[in-house]
Amino acid sequence: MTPRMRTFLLVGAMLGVALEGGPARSQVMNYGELQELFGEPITTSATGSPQKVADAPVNMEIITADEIRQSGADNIPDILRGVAGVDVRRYGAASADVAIRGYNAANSPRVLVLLNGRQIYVDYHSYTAWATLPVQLEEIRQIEVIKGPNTALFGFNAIAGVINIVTFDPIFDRVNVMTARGGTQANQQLSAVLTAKLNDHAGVRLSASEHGSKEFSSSNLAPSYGSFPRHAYNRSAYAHGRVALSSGLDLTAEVDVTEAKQLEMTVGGFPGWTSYASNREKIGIGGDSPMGYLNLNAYRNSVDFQYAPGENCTTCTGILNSLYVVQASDLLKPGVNHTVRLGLEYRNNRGGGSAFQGEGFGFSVYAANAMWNWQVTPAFALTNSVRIDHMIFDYHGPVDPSVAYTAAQYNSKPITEPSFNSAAVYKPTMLDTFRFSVARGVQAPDFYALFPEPVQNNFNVLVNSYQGTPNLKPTVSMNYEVDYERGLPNLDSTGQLALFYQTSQHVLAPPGDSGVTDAATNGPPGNGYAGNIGNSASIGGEVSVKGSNTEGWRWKAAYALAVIKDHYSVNRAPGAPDSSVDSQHGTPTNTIIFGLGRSWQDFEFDFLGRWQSRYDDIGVSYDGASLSRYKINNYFTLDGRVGYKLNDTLTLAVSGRQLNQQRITQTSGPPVERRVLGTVVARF
Amino acid sequence: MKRWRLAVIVCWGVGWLIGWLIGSIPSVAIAGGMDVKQVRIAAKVFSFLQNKPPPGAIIIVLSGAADPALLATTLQTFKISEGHIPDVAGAVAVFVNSTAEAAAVKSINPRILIIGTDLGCVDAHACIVAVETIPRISVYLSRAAASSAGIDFDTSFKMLVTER
Repeated sequence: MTPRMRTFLLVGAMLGVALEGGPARSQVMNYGELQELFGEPITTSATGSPQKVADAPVNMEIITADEIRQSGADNIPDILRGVAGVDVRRYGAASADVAIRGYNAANSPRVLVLLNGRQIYVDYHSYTAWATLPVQLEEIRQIEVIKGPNTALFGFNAIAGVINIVTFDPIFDRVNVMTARGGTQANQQLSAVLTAKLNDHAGVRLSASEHGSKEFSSSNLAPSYGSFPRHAYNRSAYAHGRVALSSGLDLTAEVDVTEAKQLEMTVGGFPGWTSYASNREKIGIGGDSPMGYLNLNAYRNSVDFQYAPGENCTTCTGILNSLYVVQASDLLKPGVNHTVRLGLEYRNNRGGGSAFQGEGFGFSVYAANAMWNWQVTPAFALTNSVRIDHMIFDYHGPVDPSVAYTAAQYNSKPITEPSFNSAAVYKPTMLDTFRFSVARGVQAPDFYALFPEPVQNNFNVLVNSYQGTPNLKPTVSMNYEVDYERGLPNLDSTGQLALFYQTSQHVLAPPGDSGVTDAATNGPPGNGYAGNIGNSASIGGEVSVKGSNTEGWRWKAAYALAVIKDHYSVNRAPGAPDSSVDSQHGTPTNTIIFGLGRSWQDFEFDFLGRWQSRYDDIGVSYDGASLSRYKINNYFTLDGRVGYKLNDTLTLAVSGRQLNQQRITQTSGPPVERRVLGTVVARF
Repeated sequence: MKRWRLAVIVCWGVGWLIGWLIGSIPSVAIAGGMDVKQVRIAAKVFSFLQNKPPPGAIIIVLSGAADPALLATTLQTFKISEGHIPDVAGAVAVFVNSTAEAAAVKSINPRILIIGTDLGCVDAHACIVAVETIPRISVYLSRAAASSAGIDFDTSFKMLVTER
């Protein structure tokens, strides 16, 4: 069955049920009404229970739909650049990596990205392929950025933070938008979001887009990139339906399809073209019962990606990663001061594709979690979440003779890891919130690290020596944090201060790094093993003030500090690096952000400045030379947008990224260019 | 360079302190019947009832408890009228001024949704819901009063309000 057929069947089935339904008796959270009621953003990303952000037991920042529009950005990584503590590496017009509180890298593995709670993160290479996000900016209600581990709720890989993208509700929110963008780098984009509300208890939102641009102007490229193709694109279709049945049950379904191709820094710092074809389906059912609110979700993600040295994929490596997830949870409030959430989860993750010779591999994860929120006094609350994940491996089929292990060895060592989040929230006044938290997060080794991969690299060379390492330990992070938030009503602002200390044990390095050895076989370095290369610790914090007033002004100012000390077995000797992982030098220590905007009559003016201190990036140049260290100087970017509301339907806008400078070297790749976009938005 | 960085950090810290001090000036609470904001918040509470009242259901506003006209603009499907305690017999909800009024209403119509502005009314389990808006919006819910009235709210709502 094709993805399109699945889409039509799912949506059709839901609409059929909707037409049979009675009066709405909705139980699923209506973000819009709850936010209007309490006058502040609502989230479920902290504990799985609805909470006001100010009450959440984690450090969270919410980016609202208005802020997304006012940013003038045409992609989510650019929007995230305005969040203190979020580090964004941009490689061209299309591709970027995002990290939270340092540790950014090519194919950044430590941040779990979700769309309405379902994973977008690609487990195969443990990163987020932002190009496969099917969602249009106009259909996003809010982006929730959690700083610090939240493995206890979301499972493996939420080790440094979580980014949950929450869309508008197909029943409660009417979103009908058509957007056309065009600009420098031959940027062209068309997108549409349509909401069909059948009645008060059923609706579906459909969106689609086509986007193309050049990654760089040809004049910008160094000679080694001379023959590099430059045209990136992505296209997507996304359907989100919801039916509230008269029985009190609530059904949701989401289906999406994307295709994309772009220049990426792939794992290990190799530049190359990656093509994606993804499709995902999710269905959920929930409802109140005498036992609390019961919820059952099931979803499937399939990402087919190909690495190629050029635009035409004749010699490329094809990999298919399929993920199946079933989640069940019960949310109940057994007493007026106690909220409990119990959850079970099963994940099945499979790898394969044209790169392989008949072998198959993957892993299953069985997990159970529990959350208990205790409002001890009106001013003091304790929240404890705990989760245990049990991961078992399944490799079958032939093993390449050059590989050191047997199939049985790949399956021999399951991983069982607990994780937790504990927090005390103290609100001595209605304006002050103190948060003390301790959390343990876990990052599982990915397919690329665990299993052999007979691949060609981006330079047409058959590597065939990525062995896979079955005895890898997961990276374990401990985060200790104190946060203080204060409402400043006389300044129409809110101030936040966060201080954290974080340790990471058994940090993982990808296969292919020459300095990484296999601890079990003591195999020779450079033989394609992944490895645990040691420990790392970071200390830092963020301080920010953000506000707006009734005269239309809005402002923000923030400073973020991240100081990292590595104790790795790699990159110890002077000279050329022997691993792509260098967290200590690879993180900008200081970041300053400031923003100012105003809505005036039918105009909106917004500017965002961002300065970050220098850091080192480690990557491979396009001509295939060995791994090199690139000194990236501190740099400043000024982004801006001017919007004009022509009438109730049409809005015109001009926006730009790094308006202050034509080219800025931001990574080991080519310099990133200034981008200017004109946008026409029609809302109806 | 280090001095420059230090200067930036110090400026930031001073700015923060000034903001903190200015923000420390206490706000003034409003006493008496519901203000406009409270009325709007209270009206939204009806969206989260598990069994929503039918169109045309009667909501009584006791004298001085809220502005009936304002309430009518928000709850358009219901019949809003200013009334006295005896009028609550056939009503689905009532806005009250005090715990004493709430207790009197309850004795006449034990199944009615009683909404007030006084947290003490909720703590006495006379009111089912109370709404405060200063300095932040807070909605209080008496679980015991709601249960005895046979009224229940959506789970997400109960997770967000302060139950007493």
